[in-house]
Amino acid sequence: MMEAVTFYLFAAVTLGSALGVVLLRDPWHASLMLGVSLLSVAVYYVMLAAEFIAVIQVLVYVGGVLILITFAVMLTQADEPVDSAVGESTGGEP
Amino acid sequence: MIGIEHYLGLSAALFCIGLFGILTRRNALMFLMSVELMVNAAAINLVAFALYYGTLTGQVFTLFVLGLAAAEVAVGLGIILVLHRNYGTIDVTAPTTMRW
Repeated sequence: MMEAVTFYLFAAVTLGSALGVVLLRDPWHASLMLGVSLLSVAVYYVMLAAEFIAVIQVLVYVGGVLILITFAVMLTQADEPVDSAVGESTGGEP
Repeated sequence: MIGIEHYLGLSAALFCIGLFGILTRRNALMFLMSVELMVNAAAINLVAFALYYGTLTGQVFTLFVLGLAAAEVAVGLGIILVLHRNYGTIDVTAPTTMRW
């Protein structure tokens, strides 16, 4: 009973954050949602008696893949919000 | 202990969400994140079947899948950075030089 409640709670978290990854416009928020989703997937591995896979999941995905993705977001999205901010400031000054 | 069909349903839903993301978004980073979601759905399936059959084969497969996903993200980010340097955007519909 307790395991079923845990499963459904974390299933709601996983599917909701996966929908957030797909639907959110901002890549920063999408990558944060991806982190939540990958962390909650690790809970299923513990429930499926695969603790080693859960540890590797957290280390590889949240420690490696997510850092790489946020790094790429920083490199590729850095100029566009600055441009929009500059446009807003110049548009607001006169 | 809950049955394996719950995990299979969750995995199918997660895979469909990732597929929806690939089919609808045009940002290359969103492609990578959606592929990660689909890979995770497959890995949940593998671990669930490993418990169902009582062997470790699925867990070893999952380890290989994790390594593949990490390598795929590294290569994909290299491609995305080159795309951003050459075209100034990471919209996947912008580069058309290989179209004939």
